[in-house]
Amino acid sequence: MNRLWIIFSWEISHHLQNTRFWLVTFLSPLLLALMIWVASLYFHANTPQQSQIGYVEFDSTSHFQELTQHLTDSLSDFNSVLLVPINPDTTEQMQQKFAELAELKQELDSLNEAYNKIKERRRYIFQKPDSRSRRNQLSKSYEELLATREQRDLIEIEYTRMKTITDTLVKQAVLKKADSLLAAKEIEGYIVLEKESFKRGIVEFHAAQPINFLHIQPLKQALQVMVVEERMKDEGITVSQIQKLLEPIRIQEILSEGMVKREFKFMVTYLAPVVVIIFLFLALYTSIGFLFNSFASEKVHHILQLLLTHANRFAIIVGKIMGCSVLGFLQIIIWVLLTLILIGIGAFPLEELGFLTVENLGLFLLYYFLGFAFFAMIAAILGISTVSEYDAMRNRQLIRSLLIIPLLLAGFILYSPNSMLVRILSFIPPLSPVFMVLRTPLGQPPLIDYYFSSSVLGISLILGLFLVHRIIKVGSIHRENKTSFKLLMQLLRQQ
Amino acid sequence: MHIKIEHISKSFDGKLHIADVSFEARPGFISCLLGQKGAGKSTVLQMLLGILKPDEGYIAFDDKPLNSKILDKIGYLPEERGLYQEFTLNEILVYFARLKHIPRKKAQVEAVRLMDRFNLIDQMETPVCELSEEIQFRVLLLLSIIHNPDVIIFDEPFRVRDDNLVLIRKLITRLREEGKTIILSTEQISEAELLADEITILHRGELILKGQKSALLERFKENIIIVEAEDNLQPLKNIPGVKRIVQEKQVARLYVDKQMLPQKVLEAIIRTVNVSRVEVHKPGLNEIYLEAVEQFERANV
Repeated sequence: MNRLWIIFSWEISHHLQNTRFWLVTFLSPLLLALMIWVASLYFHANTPQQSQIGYVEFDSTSHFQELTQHLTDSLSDFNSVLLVPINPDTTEQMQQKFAELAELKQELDSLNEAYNKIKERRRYIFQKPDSRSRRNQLSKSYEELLATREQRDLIEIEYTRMKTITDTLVKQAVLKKADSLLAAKEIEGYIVLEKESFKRGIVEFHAAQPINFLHIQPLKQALQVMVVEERMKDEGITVSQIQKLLEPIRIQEILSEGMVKREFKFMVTYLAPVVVIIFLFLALYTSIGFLFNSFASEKVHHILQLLLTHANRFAIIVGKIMGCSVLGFLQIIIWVLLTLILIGIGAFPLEELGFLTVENLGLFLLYYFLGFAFFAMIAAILGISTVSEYDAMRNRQLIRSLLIIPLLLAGFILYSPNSMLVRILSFIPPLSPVFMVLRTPLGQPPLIDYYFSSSVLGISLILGLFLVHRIIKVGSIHRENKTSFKLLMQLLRQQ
Repeated sequence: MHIKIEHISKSFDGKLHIADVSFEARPGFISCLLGQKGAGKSTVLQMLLGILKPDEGYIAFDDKPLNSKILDKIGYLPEERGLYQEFTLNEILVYFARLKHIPRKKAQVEAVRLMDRFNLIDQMETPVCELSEEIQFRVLLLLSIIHNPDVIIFDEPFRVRDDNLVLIRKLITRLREEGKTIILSTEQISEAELLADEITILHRGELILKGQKSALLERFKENIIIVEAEDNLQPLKNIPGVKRIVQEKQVARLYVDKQMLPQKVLEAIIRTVNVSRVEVHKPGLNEIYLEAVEQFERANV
C-alpha cells in the first residue's frame, strides 16, 4: 500500500509539472467557447439577410406602425422582415393637382360652413312669431340655401372628380416607385393595403422573383392579427379586450418517451449535456494520454524493468492509474469551479444546468470513472507493449481513435436516445461511458440499461486488470516486435 | 544472502532459451555470468529478479523463494539504462529509495551521502536530461545500492567509459569486502578474470562451464605453445604430448599435455618445422572460455 501511494504521488507530481496539463485544462474551455462562438457567427452569417418588404397603403388610415409591431411580435427569433413605407416621387403636375384639390377642398369646406350657417339662421327665423317679415326672411333664406347647396354640390362633384384624379395619380406614382424599387432589387416585394382589404380580407403582395413569395409567411401572420383587430374594432370591441383576446400562446414542447413524458428545453436537455460530455471526454483524453505516455515512456526508456525490481506489479499498475485519474478529476474540479465563477458573475445562467441533478451527477461520475478505468487498461496494455518512440506514436493514435469513436457515434443518441441500436451500443464497453452519460439527460434510459452497462464495464475492468497484471513483467523486457495482436498473445502466454 | 539457482530452464514460444542452468552465489563472493551477447545471461538475471518465471528448476534465497522482502534486499543495475529525464537526480534517488521501504528522511540523507561519495553533489538538483550518459550511469549505480542491499545484481556493468570502469571495479571490490552477494553478467572476459570469484560460462542458453576461478585456472593448466612458420604446420600435431592444434594462417596454437615438459616439445617443434617465432603461453580465462566453447560446439556437432 505504501508503494502504491508513493507511485501514485509520483505520477501526480510528474504530470502536474507538465505544462501540457495546464494548457489543456485552461485552454480547452476557451477553445470550446471560441468554437461555439465561431459556429454561431457562421450560423448568423448563413441566416438569410433581413428582407425589405415595401408597404403601400391607399384609402385608409395608416396601419404601418401597427403592422410593424405585429411583425416584430410574430418573429421571435430573428427580425428577418423589415417593412419599408413607399412614398411617391411628386411631379410638378401632381403638385398642381394637389394644389387644385386643396383649393377645392377649402372651397367645399367654406360652402359647407356657409350652408350650415344658413340652416342655423333659418331655424332661428322659424322660431319667431309669424309675420310678413318672417315669411320674407324665410323665403329669402331658402333661396339662399338652395343656391349655396347647389354651389356646394357642384364643388363637391368637382372635388370628388379631382380627388379621384389625384388618388389615381398617387396610386400610379406609388406603384411605379414600388415597382422600380422591386426592379432595382432594393426590396424583395411589397404589399398593397387598401380600405377594402379589411372588408374583403385580400392583401396584394407583389414580387419580381417566385422565391420572394416565401416572405409572405411571416407577413401573413402579422396581417392576420391586424385585420382581425380591425374587424373587432368595427364590431365595437374595446382595445383592451382585443389585446386580451389576441394574447399570444406559448407552445410547451413535451418529449414523449413511451409512457414517460417530460418538457423539452433545447439548451437544458440537449446542448448543455453535449457540452458536459465534451468536457468529460477532454478530462478522459488528458488522463488516458498521460497514463499511456507514462507506461510507454518507462518501457521505451527501460525504467519499467527497474521499477519492477522496486515494487510489485499491482502497486505499479494501480498507483499509475490512480495518479492519472486524479489528474482528470482535478481538471473536472477546475472546470466546475470556473463554471461556478461564471454563474456567480452572471455570465452563465444557472437554469441551463438544470439537468445536472444529484442523481445525474452521481451517474456521470460513475460512468466517468468506469470509462476512465476501462480505457486506462487499454492504455496500460498498449503502453507496456510499446517498443519504440515510433510504436508509441502509433499506439497513441490508436487510443485517440478509440476515445473519439464513441463521440462520433453519439449522433445516434441525439437522434433517438433509447432506440434499440443505441441501447445495444451502450452495452459495448468502449462506448458505454459516453453513451450512458449522454443518454441520461436526453432519454432517461431504463434502469436495466444502467445495471447491464455498468456490469459489462466492471467485468471488462477486471479482465483488463488481469491482462495488464499478466503482461507487465514480460512486456517490460520485450523489445523485438512492434505492438500487434499477435505480440499481445505472445506476452500473455509467456511469464 | 546465499543464492541457489538449481536447474532452471526457460522457453519462449517453444524455443529453449535457457537450458538447465545451475550455479550459486555466496556472500562476500563475486559470481560472474560470462558469455557472448545472446548467451542468456540477462534472462537468468531476470529470473533471479522475478521478472521472468523459470519453466523448470528453482531459485532460492537463503533456501526461500523470492518474495517482496527478499526483493527489497536486492539491488539491480540493468543492462539497458534509462531514467526519468525531467526529474532531478535527488528526486529520482529518493523516489527509488522510498520504493525500497526507506523512510523519506533517511532516503534523503542516504541520497546526499552517496551523491557526495560519487562526486555528484553539485548536480543533485540538475534534471537528468541535462546530465551526461556517464553521470546517468553513476545515478543508476547509486540506485542499485542506495538501500544497502544484501545482494547486488549488475547486468553488463563494464560497458562504460574508462572513468566509470575504474569506479565500478572499485565499487564491486568494496561491496565484496562488505560481505555482499554479488552477481554480475558480462561478456568482457578480462573484467571477469580481474574481479570474479566464481565463473559460470553460458553459451547459447546452456551452462558450459562453472566453478571457482582459481579451480578453473588450475584445471586448464595445460601449456599453449604458439608457433609461427612458413612451412606446413600440420605435422606438429604428431609431436608426442600435443593434444591438439588450432591453426590460423601460418600461426598454430599447440595445446600441450600438462604432464609433458615444454622444453621437450619445443625441441621437437624446431626439428619438425622451420620456425620464425615460438613462445610458451600460460592459459588465462580467455583461453578457458574459448576452449569451453569449442568443446561445446564440437559436442553439439
